[in-house]
Amino acid sequence: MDDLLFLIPLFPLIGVILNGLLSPKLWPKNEKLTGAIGSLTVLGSFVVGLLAFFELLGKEEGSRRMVDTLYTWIAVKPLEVKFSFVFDQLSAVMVLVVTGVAFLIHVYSIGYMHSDRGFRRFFTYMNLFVFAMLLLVLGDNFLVMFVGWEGVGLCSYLLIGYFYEKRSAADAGKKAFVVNRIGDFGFLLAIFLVFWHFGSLEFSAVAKNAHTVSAGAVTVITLLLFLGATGKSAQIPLYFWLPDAMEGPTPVSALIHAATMVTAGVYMIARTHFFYDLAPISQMIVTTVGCLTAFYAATIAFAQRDIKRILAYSTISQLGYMFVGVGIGAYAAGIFHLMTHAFFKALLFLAAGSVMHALRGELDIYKMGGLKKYMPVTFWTFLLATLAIAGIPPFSGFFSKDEILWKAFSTHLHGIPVWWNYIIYGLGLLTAGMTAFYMFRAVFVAFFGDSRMDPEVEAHVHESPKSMTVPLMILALLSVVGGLIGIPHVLGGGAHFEMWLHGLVAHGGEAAHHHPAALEIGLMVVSVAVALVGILLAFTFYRKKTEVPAHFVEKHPRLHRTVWNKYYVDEFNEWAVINPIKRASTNFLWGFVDVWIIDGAVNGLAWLAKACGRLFGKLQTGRVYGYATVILIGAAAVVGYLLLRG
Amino acid sequence: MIPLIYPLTIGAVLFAIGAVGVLVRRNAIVIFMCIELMLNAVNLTLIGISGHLQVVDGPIFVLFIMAVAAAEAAVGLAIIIALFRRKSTVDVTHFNILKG
Amino acid sequence: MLVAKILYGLFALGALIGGINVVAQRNPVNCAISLLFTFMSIAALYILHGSPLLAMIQIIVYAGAILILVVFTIMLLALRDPGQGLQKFWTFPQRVAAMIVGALLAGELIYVAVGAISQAAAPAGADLKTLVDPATLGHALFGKYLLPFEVASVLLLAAIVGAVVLTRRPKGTPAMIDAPHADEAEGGES
Repeated sequence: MDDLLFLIPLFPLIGVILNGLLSPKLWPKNEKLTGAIGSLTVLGSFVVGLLAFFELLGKEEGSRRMVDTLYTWIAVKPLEVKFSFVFDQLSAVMVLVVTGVAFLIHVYSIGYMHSDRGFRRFFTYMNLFVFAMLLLVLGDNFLVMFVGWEGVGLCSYLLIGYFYEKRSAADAGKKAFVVNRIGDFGFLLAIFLVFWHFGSLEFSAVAKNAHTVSAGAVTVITLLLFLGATGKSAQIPLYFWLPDAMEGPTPVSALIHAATMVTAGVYMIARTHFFYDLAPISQMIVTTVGCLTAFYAATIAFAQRDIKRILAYSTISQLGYMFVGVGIGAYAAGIFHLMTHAFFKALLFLAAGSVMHALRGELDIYKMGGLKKYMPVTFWTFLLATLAIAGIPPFSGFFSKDEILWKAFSTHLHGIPVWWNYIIYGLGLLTAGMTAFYMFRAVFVAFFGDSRMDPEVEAHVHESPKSMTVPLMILALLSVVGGLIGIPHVLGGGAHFEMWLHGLVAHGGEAAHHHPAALEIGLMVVSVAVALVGILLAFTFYRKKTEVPAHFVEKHPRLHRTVWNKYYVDEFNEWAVINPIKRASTNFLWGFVDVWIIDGAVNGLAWLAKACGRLFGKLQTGRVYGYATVILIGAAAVVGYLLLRG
Repeated sequence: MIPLIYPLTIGAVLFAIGAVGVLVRRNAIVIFMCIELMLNAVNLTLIGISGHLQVVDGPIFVLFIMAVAAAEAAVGLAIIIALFRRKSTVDVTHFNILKG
Repeated sequence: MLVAKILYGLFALGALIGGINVVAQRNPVNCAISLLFTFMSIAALYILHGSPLLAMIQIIVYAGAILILVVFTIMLLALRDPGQGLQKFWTFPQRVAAMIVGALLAGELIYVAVGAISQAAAPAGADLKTLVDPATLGHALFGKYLLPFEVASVLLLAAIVGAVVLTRRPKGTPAMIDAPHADEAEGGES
């Protein structure tokens, strides 16, 4: 199996070639075939991943690692980089989650994107995206990972701007790519530093020697890596591309922005855990940023009306939780939440897509209502996902989120005071309640109550076809039971998930095993209670006393407006960053550097050539006698020179 | 018999006279004649030196120079005639179309 | 051999006078005659050097062929003296420059000559009497210098062909000079 790892990314690549390059000629209008190819390639990757996973299971702890080296990519002394894939416990989780969820989304898209003009283009880009993502998670060294990293950035640009004729979509794609790039800058600098200090870019080699470098250097590297992660995973300060990214088709949002690409940052930190374990300051920063982002995004979600925007901000918020997890050193917990989040967030997006599909593209939840009787399957799956995200046991979200909160509370970082832990925990808890609140707000407004739909639209509302509802149901099942493999010890479970990854990621920070079990259970109860309070509040405001929210908005119009406008962050960016850059480019870089210096140099060269030509042209007088004179003078000079030389 | 300095000096002076003539005269044919003068000066020098060194290469070289001079005369005068046909003059100041 | 030296000086003087005249005469025909005089003097010098063969060859080739060609051309082009009423010489600066160049050349060459003399001892009997007899010359010419000899013959061929080609007239153009002193010299279109 070692040598067959390359098949995992190869299958989607084949899909790209078939769908992208060959299908225009061979089967241009055959949607079924395009969709089948797109989906089956991903399924193929999943199957291979599954086989590899079973093989890993069979091995014993400590040697759970398979490497497949394709060829030596760069061999320029002293840099040597091989194009190779590694399949260990972490890769296994990522590959199975990515390919599994991607497969379901592909199947869903066959129905969702039916009769869209760019059907073929869609599946090509989707396969390309899966390919890049697999490169990212399977890469054995920083450079291969970076290739995948950039690749998913590119594909997100392509897919966000899928409806390229729409100006806002094209802009959103551009925005995503540019903001990602800023993060990639940090990532690149980190790669340079890694090579500078270690002379190699392979994870295993660097991990072995990580402790040989000064703590300061490690801190810088980890912070730069984190900068890359904030770009890709939409944390503060580089998050603002994600809400705009909802311009893309809903399956795209499901795949890229909920389940896979945005989690690349979390994966990256888990993969480079050997660095983070050595830099508690970075860990603190990562955790703090993650926590703040989670809280901040949740507040924005409160005021949104567009269902996809609500889900987008909740994604940012949940990603914040994941960063809290990996930041504090609880890599297993962060990845666990990544997995459960993939299930229920993808489900939420696909269900939203189902609603949009039925309502002819309506996104405003206040223009929906009472959908539960029209679209039962969509409703029930959406509800299950919402319960999961709210952290209600025994759904998957509860276990993963709770694990993170517990670890945040109990893991003390070297040199960081304990009260910081409590603040993080408190904020996380509050955000959990807020999450429950705004998600159930969406549920109550959209699916319950009286219909607020356009009569036109209401006439055609129907449940979505099987190709769309079946993936919903599968995802719902996963959202429900997916958490069971991570039931912690205190509740009698085997904590299989953590054990699985334990061999790979030794715990960072001082392990807090001396906390009594009762404390852990107590905190669990508290978080469930907070979630229930959130649900109750949502129920009160949006089912019973529905006039309260409207009152609130009236009494605090400025507050509402600020939150609704996302705290004017985009406007601030426009003013502080974009306009100055535009002005500088136009006036300085173009007006001065390009016109005067660059053009000047080129034109100057031409002028110089002409001037020289004119000058030397004067030699050609055409006068014979002049030539003769010069010849004879030359002869005399030569003889004279020879004489003088002796 | 003949001291070496004689042919060498006379050759040098004749050569210089020929050079001056080339630079000073305007009539192309006269310029040509001055060139022949220069060649003769060279011949004289060669004869002188080879006599001094007692080698036969000098006179041989002189023979060749004469042959080449004859060829050159033929072609050069043909050129002058062709130029005359064009410009109706052999004044070299008028032959300036290579200007620029 | 005082006589030889005196004679040598006499003919050398003649050559110099002839050379100066070539440069100084207005009428090109006069120039040609002076050139003839120079050639003759140089031929005499060759004889004094001990090679009558070369003297004869000099007269035959230079005076008898080249000079004839030159005179032929002068007559053919019916050049009036002094060259269609144009000035004979250059402007003053040009003349000065020419003088300077000439002086330079002469000076350098004489310097070389003197240097050569001072270094070499003149062997007795520095003349070519024994060397330039037809047999020796023939041996050298067809032995060591065979290749240049053949090349020279090719060169002469090329010269002949070149001369013919250069002076070709396109068909139909009348001959330029019908009679001597023709006034309407249709300075032909070529």
